[in-house]
Order: sequence, then C-alpha cells, then structure tokens
Amino acid sequence: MSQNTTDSRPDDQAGASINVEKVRKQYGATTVLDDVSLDIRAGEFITLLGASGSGKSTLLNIIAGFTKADGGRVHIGGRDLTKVPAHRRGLGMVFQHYALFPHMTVFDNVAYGLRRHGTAKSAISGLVAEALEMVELGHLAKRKPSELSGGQQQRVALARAIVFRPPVLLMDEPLGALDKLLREQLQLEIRRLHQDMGITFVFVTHDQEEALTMSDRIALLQSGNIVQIGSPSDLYERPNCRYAAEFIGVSNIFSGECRDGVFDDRINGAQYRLGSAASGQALMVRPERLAVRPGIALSEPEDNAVEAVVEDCVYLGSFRTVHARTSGGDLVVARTDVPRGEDGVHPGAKVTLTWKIEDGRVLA
Amino acid sequence: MTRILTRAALVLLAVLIAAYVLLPILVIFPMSVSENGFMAFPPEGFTWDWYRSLSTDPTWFASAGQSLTVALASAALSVVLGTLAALALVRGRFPFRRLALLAMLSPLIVPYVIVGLAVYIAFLKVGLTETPLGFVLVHTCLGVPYVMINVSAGLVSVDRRLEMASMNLGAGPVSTFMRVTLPAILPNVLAGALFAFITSWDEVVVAIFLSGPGMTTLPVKMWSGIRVEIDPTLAAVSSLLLLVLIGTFLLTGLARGIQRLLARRSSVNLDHSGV
Repeated sequence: MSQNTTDSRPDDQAGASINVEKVRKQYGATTVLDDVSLDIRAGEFITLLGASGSGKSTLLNIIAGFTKADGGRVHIGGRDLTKVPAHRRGLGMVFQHYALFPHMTVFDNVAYGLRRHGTAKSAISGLVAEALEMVELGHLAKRKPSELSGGQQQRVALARAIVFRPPVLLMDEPLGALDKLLREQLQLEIRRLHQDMGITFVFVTHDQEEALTMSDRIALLQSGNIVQIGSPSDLYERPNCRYAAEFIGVSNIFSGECRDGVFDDRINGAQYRLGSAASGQALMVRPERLAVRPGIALSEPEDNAVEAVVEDCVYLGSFRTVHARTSGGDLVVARTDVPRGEDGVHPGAKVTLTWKIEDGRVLA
Repeated sequence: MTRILTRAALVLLAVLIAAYVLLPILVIFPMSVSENGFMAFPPEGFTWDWYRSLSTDPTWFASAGQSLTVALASAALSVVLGTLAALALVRGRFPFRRLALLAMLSPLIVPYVIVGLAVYIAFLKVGLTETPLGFVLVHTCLGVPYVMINVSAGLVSVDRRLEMASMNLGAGPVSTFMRVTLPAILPNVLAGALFAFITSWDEVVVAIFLSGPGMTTLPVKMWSGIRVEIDPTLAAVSSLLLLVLIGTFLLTGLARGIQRLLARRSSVNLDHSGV
C-alpha cells in the first residue's frame, strides 16, 4: 500500500471543496442515489468505490453537471452549483474510453478547453505544450487520437482536462480499458499529478486495489448509499460492515455471537476473545494476520485459535497462501511467509490458525 | 476448383444484373447520335445535330437553371430542417414522439400524385404555383425525410461522451453541436443532402401540377417535350444528364479513394513511431 502523504502538497489552495448534500436520484422505480451526503476537502484525492449499479458514476455525473439530481444540493468551492449547467462549472473531467475528439489533433484536443474559456491565442500553444509535457507526450501534438495507443490517448485526455487548471478533476474509471502494467504505471502518474497540482481529485472505480493505491480517502458505495468513508487503512483495517470487509481485500469471516467479551463461533465450536466490548454477528480476520501452525498447537495466551485441515497451498514468490477448511466447513485463507524448508503445512495436514486478539474485528 | 467456379458464377451474375439495370439507361446515348429524326432503336448513322439544336434552344437552359436553383435551395433547406428534426427525434424526450416521426416521414408514404394535387389547390389560392418559392417549399417537404433518416442513423452512433467532454470543457450546447456533433455526422448530413438534391432534381409528378408557362423544371420540360415532338434532342438532354451524374459519382469515388490512401499512409507512419 502506498503512503497517502499530504505534506508534499502546495500550500496555496488550488483545489476546491465539494459538498454533496442529500442528493437523490431515481430512474423509474430504482433508487440510484438515496439521499447521499459527502464532504470532499479541498485538494484531497477521493475515490468513489463500488460495484456496478452502486451509484458511483451517477454521483460523479451529478457533480459534473451532466445528470440532474431529483433532490439535494451540490456546492463546489462554497458556491451552490446545483442548477449551473456542465459547461459553466469549469471542472476538469477524464472519461471512460478517453472521449477524445476524433477529428482533431492532439494539440487541438488539449487546446479545446482553453479556447472555450477565452484564453488569449498567444498563450494557448505554450499552455498546451506545458500540459503535454506533464504527461510526457509533447512530441505527439500533431497526431490524431486514432494514431495513438490506449495509454497515450488516456494521457492526452488527462492533459486536456488539466490544461485550464480546473479546481477539481473528475475521473470516471479512466484506467478501465488499459492492461494491468500500464494501469499501475498510470496510477502512479495520476498520483504524482495530484501532488504537483494540489487540486481536488474525484476518482471513480470498481477496482478496490486501485482505490487503496491512489486515494487519500475512499467512499464505498452500495446500492445508492455510502456505506463507509475513510482512509484506505480505515477501510481495510476497520471495515464497519460485512459488505465493506468483503468488498475490500480478502477477508475471513466467522459467524457467531458476541457474549461477555467473547465471540462464540458455534459452527466451528470455538470461542474467540475480543479486544474490546463489541456486538455483532460476524468476526473478520485478514489473511495476513493469521499464523498457520502445524498440528494442534496450544495457542499463546494472547492469541485466538481455530483448527482446520489444509486444502491447498499456493506459492506466489514473495509469499504463500494457505487455504484451509475448519471443522464447521468455513474456508479460511491465510497469507504467510514462504518457509525455508518443509514446515508441515501441506494439503491434508491438520493445522491451527491463530491470530492476535486485536486483529479480529467484529462486524454488524 | 469449385471455389473458382463459384467465383466465376458470382461475377457473371453481377455482370448480368448490372447490364439489366444499366442497359435501358445507356440505350439513350446511341439514340441521341442517330441520324433518324425520330427517337428510334437501333440508331442509324451518326450525328451531333441533336446536341447542336439543343445548344441553340434557350428554353432547355432556362429549365435546367430553374431545376438547379430549386434543387439546391430545397436541398439546403432540407438539410437544416431534417438535421434539426433528427436531433429532436433521437435526443428529445417529449410526448407524441412516434407520431411526430410518422408525420415527418409521411411525404415518403403518401403518393406524389396526391401531394401534387393537394399542393396545387392550396398554392393556386396564394399564387405560389409556377414560382420557384412554391417548388422549393414542396421539394423541401419531400427532401426532409431523407435527411432525417440519414442523420438519425448517424446521431445514434455518436458517442455521447464526446459531447459531454465538450460541455465539460466549457462549450455550450450550440457550440458543442457545431464543433463535435456535426463533424461526427457530416457524412450522414452530406448523404442526406445528396438524396434531397436528387429527389428535387428529377421530381416530375408534383412538378407537373406546379409547372406552367411561368416556370417549368427540366423533368417536366422533358416529359412535355416527348409528347409534342419525339426527335432525339430529348435523348441528347438525357445523355448530358447521365454524363453529369456519372461524373459526380466518379468524383466522389475518387475522393473516397484518396481519403483511404491517406488514412493508410498515416497508419503506416504509426508503425514506425515506436513508443
């Protein structure tokens, strides 16, 4: 996971805050956004994360001014823009599949916004060149979009969106059409752009890994509601519901009940101690927090333990995943270091899975 | 072997169909250079006389000029109205949309004789018969559906995100249409314009109702010509018209070929660019 630094950002407030207030959107009988409120700080990188149909793109389109909300307000930089049409909002946007104008050169694509905003002719070519330099495409200004690769087109789309220095940059799954390697490279470039420019970035994706990598904060959406909002580590380490735990990262979830500081896992006939008083029907442990010990080992006093039989071990170079089945039938995944030799963890072996008390999290 | 035979059969079939479609038209030319004073086939001898007599008769040129004016004006009007109608019907959300679509298409469905008669009666009252304006009004009506159908097909395939991108970059709806949407649907607009032009240029049924001593379009003049005198001057006119038509097609074909060649060259350049 990357460090989500905020200290390298310029002090002058180039970015604008965005306040979404009880925004509601319905298509026929389906509620796409259910009174969503969201405060985005000036200059932050926020990701709207969710499965398809969660309402994340609709929310972005309402901020951009393309979609009219049925209720609620949108303030950007303190101004109420609810009724202002898209072309007067002055926000930058990068679209899915780039949306470059096919009949214009790269230069004209990037200059488009400057010309519409009435930038002096003499200043345009300098600004366009500067923006293209930022995305390392200065040498391709005379090409048509159809003559560029997907990654290059996406960079042009970025340059076009930032050239007029908007206070907010909106991005709608901008990396969805690219292959993995290129996507990871562009993720880092977009983060670097964010740090250089200091403007507010609103990024929409369904890819939880991408969200963890890039964001200062993530807002997780599920069927028109924000179920959790927080830093990547908040969402990963401290999910507030089962949906959040399962959507982000891999999670092992035991069902049961909390009673007197103990989680009673009846399915596996085990009891787990809890770090603090909690209530809920599920206990979650991340794979990397689990330790795998061969045989039936007594757990150390500060650990919880459950017995299981290994079904599969997958070697992944820098680490190993162990898939094991508990007596109650739960499939548990543990992520461990790769042992130097045979450590008694192999398919068919009886093992004990242990975790520190504070690594278990009770979910509603 | 069978593949070659199938191919040969296909080519033969294509040639036969082309001959079937084109021969009745091409027969016109030999007739126009025949020495026989009546239009007859097969032609006898060879002479340019009928072309010469055509060039000395100013009424032909007057009619051709009137036809051209009407066709150009009604094509232009059809393009504007048809494109706007297509925009409304493809993008708009309003009640009775399908009914409006049907109304716009009705000139294609209603027999021209009925249109001609109805328009004639109406125009007589307001004095629009035998006037260029009258012709333009009716022919625009007939041309709009062609433009609308062509442009609608283009609009449906325009990526809405391009328009959103344009708006996001500060262009209003009109500016976005002119700079982004129109370039994308230009081929459809031009095809619609061509259809509208041709519809007006060779429209004869409605034109007969509206024509008179004051104004006669070329097709009407030809039609009445063959009823009065059947000398091959008419064949000469037809041949000239065909020549213009073939020329137009060759030119568009050539333009398209050049365009494709340029596209291929730029894609070849891309292969050398690396990155």
